[in-house]
Amino acid sequence: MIDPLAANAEACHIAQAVRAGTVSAEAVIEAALQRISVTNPTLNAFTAVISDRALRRARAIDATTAAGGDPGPLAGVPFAAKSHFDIAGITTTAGSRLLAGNPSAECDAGVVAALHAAGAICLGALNMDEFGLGGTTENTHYGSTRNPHALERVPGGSSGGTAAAVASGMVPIALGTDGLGSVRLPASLCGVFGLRPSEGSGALDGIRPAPGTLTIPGPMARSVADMARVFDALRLGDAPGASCAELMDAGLTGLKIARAVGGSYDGPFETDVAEVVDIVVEALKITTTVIYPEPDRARAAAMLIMSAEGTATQLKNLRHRLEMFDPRTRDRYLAGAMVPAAWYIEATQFRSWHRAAVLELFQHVDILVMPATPCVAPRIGTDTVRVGGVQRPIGPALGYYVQPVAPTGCPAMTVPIFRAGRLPMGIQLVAAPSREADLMRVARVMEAMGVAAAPVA
Amino acid sequence: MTEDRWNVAEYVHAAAVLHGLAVPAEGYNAVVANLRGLHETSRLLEDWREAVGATERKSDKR
Repeated sequence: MIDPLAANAEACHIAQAVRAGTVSAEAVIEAALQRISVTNPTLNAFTAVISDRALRRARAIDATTAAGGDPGPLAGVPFAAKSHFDIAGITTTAGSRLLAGNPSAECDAGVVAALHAAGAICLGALNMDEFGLGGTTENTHYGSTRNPHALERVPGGSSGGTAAAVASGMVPIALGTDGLGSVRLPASLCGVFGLRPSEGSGALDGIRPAPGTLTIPGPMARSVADMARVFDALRLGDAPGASCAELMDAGLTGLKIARAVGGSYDGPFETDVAEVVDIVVEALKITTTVIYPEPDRARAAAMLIMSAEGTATQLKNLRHRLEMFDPRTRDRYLAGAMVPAAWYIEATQFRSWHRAAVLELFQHVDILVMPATPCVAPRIGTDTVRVGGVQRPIGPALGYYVQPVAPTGCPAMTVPIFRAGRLPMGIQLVAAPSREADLMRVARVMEAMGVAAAPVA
Repeated sequence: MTEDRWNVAEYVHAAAVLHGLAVPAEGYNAVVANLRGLHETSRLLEDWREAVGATERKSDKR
């Protein structure tokens, strides 16, 4: 029996206990705030904590429960959101000093509001690379976030605060954003589940600065059951697709699972990558391979699109407030501002072809299995990592295997592969648009087999 | 646009003037390096239409 007040309590344990009245939402939130006060000074995952409003919301949920009302499927579940999202009452910084002087947000971003509507309670904002441009959450202004599994190592990024908060048990679920892999990458390095949902499945309002065509919100969790319930709560009412919580236990019957190969997915892989791929191939008895269409060109297109679109929102700041940028991102933004339109247009045209080619693959298979990250979490301050047998700059290199999927609109989930005594590493599952339930079914089987697990660090 | 026909450092100087950007002296080499990286990335897409035909044929054989 899991104690709903403990760090390893999952969102479903907490909601079940709060809904049954066996524990109060107020007690759950007090316990989470206490964990944050003890753990966060070491990890630096939270950049702002909301106590009073969270406790008021908890008391309101307890009052609803006591009156016999329905407090929601995620009643009393503490969560937090990347500082990319508006959270009413605090300033949305997006990890940048440029926004630090802005007034507090007046209302919640759409996805934060959706979790509040389901009964969950936001406890604060989480650290990130400035404006999401980075893969390590080493932030000059707000400090580096540390990996809960190895404090001298990065959590990945740009949603590194999100991954660290969930992996450490400060909260059971949290929200990030994924442009080129900013949910799936840190989820892999911190050993939690991380979902990039289908394009168009969740609300985009209240993300600052406004996202380009690649960036979408995505949740992290420590179990498939929690991920399914959070995704169900986040999904827009008119988005297609079945309830993940209802379908996640349907097993593998009828699902065709294949390992993606081709280009960089052929390797060579570092030892840890090869090991987790082998574990999954063996556990799921995968005998089929399919050629993922042009992953290296897809990565190139995604990077050019992200560079051009990301910079478009920052031109004024680059002209007039350059000194306020994080030196880690300033020079990348300046270069992005100079990208010729022809490169961007070529990238978007390739993106259209690539999306159609990937959708064609899903006429023949249901799930693609591919690596998530090229290595385990590097040490803080590392400049390069080895990918495909070549040393590459750490920021783009950590996202090497997740970037090609970003322009497709397909849902993709990082699943943490359990290896006792080893640093975390995940595997990436990809499905056709609106088929998140298929991802959950496979991940749920892996979890039941003990292949996938996200123990609190 | 091939590297020998395209002097990235000169382009950065001209583009900065065009966009009203003041590239700091200490960041100039990094901006040039970043743009050179993006240029190399863009070159992967220069012949994608021809390459896609080749990939589809390879896929059919497999």
